[in-house]
Amino acid sequence: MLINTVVLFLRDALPAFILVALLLNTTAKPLHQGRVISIGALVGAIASVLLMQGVLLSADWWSGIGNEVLFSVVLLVFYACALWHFCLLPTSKRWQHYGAMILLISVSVSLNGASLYTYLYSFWSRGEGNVLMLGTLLGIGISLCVAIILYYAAQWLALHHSRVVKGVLLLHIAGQMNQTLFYFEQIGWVSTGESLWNTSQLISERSEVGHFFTALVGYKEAPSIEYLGLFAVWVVIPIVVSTLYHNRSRNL
Amino acid sequence: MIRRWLGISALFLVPIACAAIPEYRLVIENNLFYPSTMHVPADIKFRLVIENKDDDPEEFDSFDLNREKVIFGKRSATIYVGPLKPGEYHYFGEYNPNSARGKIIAILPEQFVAPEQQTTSQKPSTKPLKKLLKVPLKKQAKKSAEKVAHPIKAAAPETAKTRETPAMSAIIKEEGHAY
Repeated sequence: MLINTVVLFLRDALPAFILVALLLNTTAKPLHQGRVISIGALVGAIASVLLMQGVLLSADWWSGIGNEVLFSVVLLVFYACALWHFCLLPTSKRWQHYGAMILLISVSVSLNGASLYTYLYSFWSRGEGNVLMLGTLLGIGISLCVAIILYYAAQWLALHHSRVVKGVLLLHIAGQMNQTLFYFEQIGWVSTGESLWNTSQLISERSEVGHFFTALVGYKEAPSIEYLGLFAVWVVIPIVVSTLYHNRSRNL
Repeated sequence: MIRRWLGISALFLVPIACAAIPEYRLVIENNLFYPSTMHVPADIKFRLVIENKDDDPEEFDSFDLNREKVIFGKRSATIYVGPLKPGEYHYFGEYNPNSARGKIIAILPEQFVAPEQQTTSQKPSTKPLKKLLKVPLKKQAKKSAEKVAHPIKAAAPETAKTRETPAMSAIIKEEGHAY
């Protein structure tokens, strides 16, 4: 139970921690980091409870595919927030920077925290609170350690190559967004073909490193052409949109 | 106007397309999957309906199948799987990974139909089939519910009935419900 809680926590919460670490290094304007994180986490925690209620409601919709549709919609909201974040300039208003970051963090926390909340809630009601508490604390501790290391690595990278950190953030968002393909495949709306390669011998998705890369950039040991194609689309759209927006802003 | 007609026709076509896909059922009870081993035909997309008879939620998770879904207590969930290559695909319950475990065995469709014919006359010709027939179905029915291997059961009741062998009926009788 304890190990299971830690594993689940790492799987579900790590993407949100990674996002925060990368976001804090890609803001065009210096912000009060503690305020951004705490508001984002709080709003996200409340949203994850609401989302789980929505998941409970939508579970039977459209012959049992409502959950996947709901999660895909929330992911699109997440992507819209990311687009907003990438379009912001240092000259943009401070509230816009705060808004984009808080929204991104809270949507990520709610998305990743929804299934974790289900697990914690069901076992908590069974009276296994102590183990869950310990597992949650361990999970938070490990995720926090990873996020802090990533934060300082990204900070060091940002000093030399600021665009690289933005690039990693873009890959992270594309990786998260590619879950839509997984959802659509799961409900039978799309079918993916054969995998192009298999790197399970090198980095298995089930290994700790594999988990980390999956959370960081949506790593897949055996990706299909559809997976890679969609990943590219998620990466290209913010680049095109932010370039066009920045050019337009300069011309005005 | 054309768009509207396309939309209306799509509404009718989608359920028809869904109905053509074979359906398999998996039950979660006392944090265990029933059946723990399920045989499905390879190279065919199918619908997997997972019914959670427990009060607590469970998350169906499979690295091999690349599927993951939370099934709330006393509820059912549907996922689409395949087409699978012949082989074994393991799955587990994320919330109870030590007890809730199972596997799906995908067999080539031509070999898949064969087990029923094997019981009457023919000899098994391929390795996976030999493995499958090592324990006769009737014997398996007498074993615990966890170890019972279920052959295919299609979505349409007629199809399921036509494929139901005496051995399968024994399993169903023994367990008190049809998968």
